[in-house]
Amino acid sequence: MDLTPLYLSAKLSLVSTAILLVLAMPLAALLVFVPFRGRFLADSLVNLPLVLPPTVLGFYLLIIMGPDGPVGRLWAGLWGGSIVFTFGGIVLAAMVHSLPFAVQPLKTAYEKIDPRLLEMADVLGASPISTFFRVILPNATSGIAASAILAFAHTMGEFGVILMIGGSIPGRTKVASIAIYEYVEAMRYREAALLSLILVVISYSILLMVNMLGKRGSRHA
Amino acid sequence: MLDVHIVKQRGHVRIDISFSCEEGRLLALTGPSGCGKTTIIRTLAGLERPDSGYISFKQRDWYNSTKQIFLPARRRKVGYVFQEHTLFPHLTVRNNIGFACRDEQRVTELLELLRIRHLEDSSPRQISGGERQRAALAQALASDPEVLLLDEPFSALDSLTRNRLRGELSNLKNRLEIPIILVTHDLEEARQLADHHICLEQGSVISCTQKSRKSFIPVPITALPA
Repeated sequence: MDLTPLYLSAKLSLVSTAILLVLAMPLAALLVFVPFRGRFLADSLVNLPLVLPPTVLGFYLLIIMGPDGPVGRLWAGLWGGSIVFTFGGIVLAAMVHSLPFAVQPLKTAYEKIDPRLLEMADVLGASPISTFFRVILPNATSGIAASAILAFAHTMGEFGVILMIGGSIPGRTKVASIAIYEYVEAMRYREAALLSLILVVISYSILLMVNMLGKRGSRHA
Repeated sequence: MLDVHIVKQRGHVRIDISFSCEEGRLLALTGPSGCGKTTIIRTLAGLERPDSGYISFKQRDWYNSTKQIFLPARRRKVGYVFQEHTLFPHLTVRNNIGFACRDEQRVTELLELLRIRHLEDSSPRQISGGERQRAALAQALASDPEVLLLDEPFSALDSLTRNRLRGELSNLKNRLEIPIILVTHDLEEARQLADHHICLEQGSVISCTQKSRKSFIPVPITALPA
């Protein structure tokens, strides 16, 4: 059995989770700690991928990332060629689709931080950025870990959005979930079962980790 | 000199208070729970904004409603000991004290001054209430504050520790030469430590006394600098 789709899924999950975390940590802080006009709208927008059908999300991403879309034009200007049907394209699509899974645990962790710690940092002369790195992040480690694990797990199982943006190019965009779909289409049930079993084991292990983190977090609270 | 005139509506309590405090003096604010003591000290720290009035220190405006000035907490250089002796839970006692002070020598001096050198590598979770209070005081002093604000610093301690720490604060007051504002509901504590004592009820001053040798003499409320 060809394990390339599994490797590609793991690579996609790792890359998109790493970039997503860097973006989600300040974004969640903005949504929790900074009162601004339209915060409610921004919060709902971040959660939109949770309720949208992947095909709808994929369709809009395809338009934005297409040759006439803003992201497509930017990509072409920077690196030339099209972002659609590339690994970079599916990384971006996976990041958008997993955004709420990364932001939500961080928001929950940030909301649990004693507000007096932030006031104390303020009185002690720390700037908001210094407070973010020296107080908020060290007190949200369980949330950061949960965010990484959930975003990774969600991307491992990604199907619809990846198919819309990346198609199914072997070695480039054909991830495990798409490979399973194609095995079933081709009635190659043995390969489909094996690949599915591997994904089940990975997903279950990840959920166990999230539960363990949750228990540790509540013990420390 | 710290000059204060604060007007602030908080729920059904209207705070309207004026006072001054010189360097090296300790002013105690006392009164029953809910009379606005903590709100006053939080506005001095810059954690809350008054509705109107002014707060100035050494002729520099921290807050002035007429001039529309509000200096954020991080630029006021105050030391603030919170009621619950809050410390950063992810840092050791030494790193808590060093949060706003990069001078390791100064941190060591403060650890020794407040007799917590042996706890420098402990987590705040591992130390007692009295030790946490000392660490919180050291943390507040580490940034070389120009004004020290203490919000019921001894309320959660047993009477033995409380008496010992009151003595330490009294010694500190003489060394620091900065205005110290102490919020407490303990009249005995206020009498023991304060040079000026303002008693509040429902956000307003009901009495004002000043230490004269061994006793406190009343000062007319109208004579308060405003």
